[in-house]
Amino acid sequence: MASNLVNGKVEQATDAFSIKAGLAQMLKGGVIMDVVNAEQARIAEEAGACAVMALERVPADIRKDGGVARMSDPQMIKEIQAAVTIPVMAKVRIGHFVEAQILEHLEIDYIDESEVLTPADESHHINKNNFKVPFVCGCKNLGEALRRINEGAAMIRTKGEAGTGNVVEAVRHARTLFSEIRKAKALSEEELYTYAKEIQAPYHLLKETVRLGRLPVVNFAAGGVATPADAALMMQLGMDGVFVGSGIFKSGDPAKRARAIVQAVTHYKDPKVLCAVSENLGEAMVVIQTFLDVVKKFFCRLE
Amino acid sequence: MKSHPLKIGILSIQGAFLEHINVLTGLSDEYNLNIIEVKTSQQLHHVDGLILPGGESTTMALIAKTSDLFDELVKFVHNPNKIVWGTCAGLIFLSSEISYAKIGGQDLLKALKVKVSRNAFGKQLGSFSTQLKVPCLLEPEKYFPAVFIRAPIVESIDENSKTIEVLAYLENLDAKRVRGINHVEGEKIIVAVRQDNIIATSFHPELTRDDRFHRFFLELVKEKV
Repeated sequence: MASNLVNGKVEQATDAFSIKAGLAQMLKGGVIMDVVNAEQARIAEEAGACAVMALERVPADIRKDGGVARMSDPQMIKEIQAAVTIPVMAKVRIGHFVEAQILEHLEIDYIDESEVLTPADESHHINKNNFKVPFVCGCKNLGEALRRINEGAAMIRTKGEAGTGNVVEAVRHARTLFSEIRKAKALSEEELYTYAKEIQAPYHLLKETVRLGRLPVVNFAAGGVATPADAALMMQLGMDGVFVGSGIFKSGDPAKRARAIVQAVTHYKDPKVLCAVSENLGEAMVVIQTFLDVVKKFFCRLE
Repeated sequence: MKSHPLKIGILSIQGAFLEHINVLTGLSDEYNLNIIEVKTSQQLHHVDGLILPGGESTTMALIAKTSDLFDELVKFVHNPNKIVWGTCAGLIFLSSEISYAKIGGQDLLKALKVKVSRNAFGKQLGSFSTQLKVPCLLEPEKYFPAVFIRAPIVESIDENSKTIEVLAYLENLDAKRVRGINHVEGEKIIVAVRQDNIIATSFHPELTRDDRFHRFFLELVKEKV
């Protein structure tokens, strides 16, 4: 880009990553909401969402309907982009770099390389360093988070179990991540090399994590957050913000629940506010546990 | 003997407030600071200076309204004895008029008499970093690293306002990339201003290792206390 040359100095390569990570920093303390059309996007923006995630079906429906879940129709993404002024994110299948090229062409603000969609490549993730648009990726533990950052992810989220309305997996992943960071901080330098090998993490990123005492990029909770209390729980565990997928638009009163969750993320340590916003929210989303889920749970814990 | 600490509030309802807190913590001993996260009107009453961080201006306005903080913020930023600094979304929130607001408009604190163009460089792909000349800072000959993320700009300054001073311009920018103004090649764009007790920047000094903008803000607070 010619305009990298402004007021005399050329942008450095490290600056390029800090600009990607910087947008995630601006989203902190906020709620990013899944939306499937412009109307839902407007409801989310009016409720105080700091960004929206455009997708074709919310995870709850993907679970129910089965089949292959793919990147959304570009036309739908354009309509959402035209409807709101907050950042618009969208999902691509794991490893599907062409879907990512299409989203970059659409000038999407963030790409989620997401396990919620059907993976396109079982052994390779997208080389996210090749893109100018920043990426967010899911993780279940520290090693996975650092591998994704090494591939260029500028933001991380826990995977949780999307579309269930059950926060237990998001809690498990957050607990695992923080516990592994604490463990790494206590290790000697020799031990850290071994630990990097053990958790399959790039050593330089593990060392940086130890130095910072946290992941080197912004880290949101995702996958099963359904109530203001769930959102505040994830914040108190140490997450930087919250993704809410099916939890909002699969509930009784989406606008009210969305506002309540936004409030809960700001005032996550204040039980008075949490109590007030939790009142009369109507029905929370229904927990769906399919037969396939049960089978999957026993046999494959795929990354 | 140590003087009274300067009480610095950071509006902590959404956005990059921790980044400001981190920079201030580094300056805490030198300036004797008491750093306060402001989420409620009670917390706001205690502070001498307030930073409105980057984030989403629509989100901040909505949460401030639902948290009964909005009216108190309006009073605070209009009080000439309090120093206020808005970065990025903070600039939008402080301004009296904006273009490219969300559908249905958004609430503003209307203290800074400027018109601001939101997302003036477009979406995230238009975000960039550069080096700026900022004459009001310490070592004015040294460039200041400026990070612009989905950044706003000052489109125009209210003609009736006599006290607004431009602190920094963006120069040599590609003409096509800026929305909100009829920008011609080579023309300067306003990206930092001061109006009496208020300073505002389009960019994010809290994302860099250069603390001169934070020092500038703290010196202004020191003068008032």
